[in-house]
Amino acid sequence: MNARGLAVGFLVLGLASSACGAERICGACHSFPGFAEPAGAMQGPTLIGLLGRKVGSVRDFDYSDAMLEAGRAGIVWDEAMLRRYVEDPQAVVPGTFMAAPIFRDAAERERVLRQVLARRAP
Amino acid sequence: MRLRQILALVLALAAPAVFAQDKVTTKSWPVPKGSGPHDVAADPKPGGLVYYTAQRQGALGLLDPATGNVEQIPLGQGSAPHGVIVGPDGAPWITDSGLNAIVRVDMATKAIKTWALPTSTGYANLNTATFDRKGVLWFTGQSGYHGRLDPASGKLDVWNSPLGRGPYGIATTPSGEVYYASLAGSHIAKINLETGEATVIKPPTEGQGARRVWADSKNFVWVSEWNSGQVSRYDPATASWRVWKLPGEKPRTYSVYVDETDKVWLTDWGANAMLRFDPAKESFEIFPHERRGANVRQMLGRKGEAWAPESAHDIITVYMFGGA
Repeated sequence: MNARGLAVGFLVLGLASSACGAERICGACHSFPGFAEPAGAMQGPTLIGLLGRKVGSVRDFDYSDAMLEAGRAGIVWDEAMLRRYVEDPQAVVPGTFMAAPIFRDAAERERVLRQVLARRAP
Repeated sequence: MRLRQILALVLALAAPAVFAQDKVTTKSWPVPKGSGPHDVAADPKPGGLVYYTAQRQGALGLLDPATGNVEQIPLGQGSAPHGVIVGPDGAPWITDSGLNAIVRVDMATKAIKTWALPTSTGYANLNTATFDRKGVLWFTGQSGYHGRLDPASGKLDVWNSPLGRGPYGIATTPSGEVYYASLAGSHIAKINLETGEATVIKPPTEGQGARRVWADSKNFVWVSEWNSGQVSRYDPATASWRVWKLPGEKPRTYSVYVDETDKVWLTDWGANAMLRFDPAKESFEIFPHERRGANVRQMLGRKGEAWAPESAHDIITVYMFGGA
C-alpha cells in the first residue's frame, strides 16, 4: 500500500470509529426512535415503523410521484427491500428524490442499516 | 444497453435544443453510467473543463465540453463526493461526505490532497463549500456543522451550527459575506468570518426548507425553498425579504444559481424543469427537462452558461444564454 492508500485507509478507519452512526447519516433527512425532529419539516419520511409499512404511505408526507407509484404497486418495506434501496435508491424506485447512499462500502452500509433497524419502534 | 440504443442516445444528446425565450439553447453530454453526478462546477475560463462529483462512484469527473471527453479521478476508498467548486487557485475543491473530508485535486499533476475533519467532530455529512474573499474555504455538514479550512496553513475549524441538523448550500456575496441554508432547520445563517459564529435568519415562510443559497451582484441572497416551492430573496442591508412562488401545481425548488445578469436560475422537481426568474419583471421562464425525473440537485455557471447535472440520468446539461 502506498502513502496515499495508507492515508485513505486511516481516514476510513477514523470515520468508522468516530461518531458516524445512523443519526448523523440518515438523521439529516429522517427521524427515527430516540432522535428528535428539528423545528422544520424533514426531507424524508420518518423511519419510525418503517418495516411492514407500504411504500409512500406516511400520512401527510409529501412524497415524490415515484414513491407514490411504488406504494400503489403494493411494495412494502422489509429488510431486503430496504437493503436494496439503501444500496441504490434510483435502481429500486426510479425517480425517487433520495440521492445516492453516502457509504458505497457494503460492510459500512450494513453497519448503519443495522443501527436503524435496531432502533425501530417497539 | 444495445449499440443501437447507445447511438440513438449520443445523437439525441448531441443535437442542441433551442428555447424561444431569449434564445436559450441547451447541450447535453453523457457521463459514465452509474456515476450519479450530484454537483457541477465550470472552470470560469470560457470553454474550460467542467467538473462534477460522481457521487455513486467516488470520483471527481472532468468533462471537456469541446470534445465531450470525460475522465474520472477516483478520490479513494469510501469516497462519496457531494459538492465541488473551483477555488481561487483554479483547482477543484470537493466536499466529500464519504471521506468526511475536504479534497483538492491538482489539475497539473492529478494529485489528491485531503483534509479530514477532526475525529472529535465525528461524521458531519459534508455538503457544499464556498471560498471567501481571503481565500478561506467555508463548508457545511448536514449533520449540523459548518466549518472552514485555510488552505495556506491547513488549519481546519468546525462549529456546531445553531438549531442542529440541516446546513446545506453555502455561498459568498460580492461584499465577502458568507451565508448558508439549513434545509432541516428552515433558515439561512450568516457566518462571522472571524469567530465562526452563525447567526440564524428566518425566511418569512414557516418550515419552508431553505436548501441552497446564491448571491446576486447587489448582495441580495437568493434562497431555494424545497418544502414551500418558493424562491425568496434576503436583503442584508434592510433585513427584509421578498418571496415568489414558482409556477405550477406542486413546485419543489431544489437549486438556485444567479448568473452575471442577475437572472435567477432554479430547478423545480415538481415540474421537472429548469426555470429562469427575472427579478425586474418578476416573471418566470420555464425550460422543461428533456428527460423524465432529471433530478438536478445543483447548478453553477460561468459567463453565458448555467450548468446542471441530471443526477438521475448520468447526463450534464448546459443552458447557454445572452445572445448565444
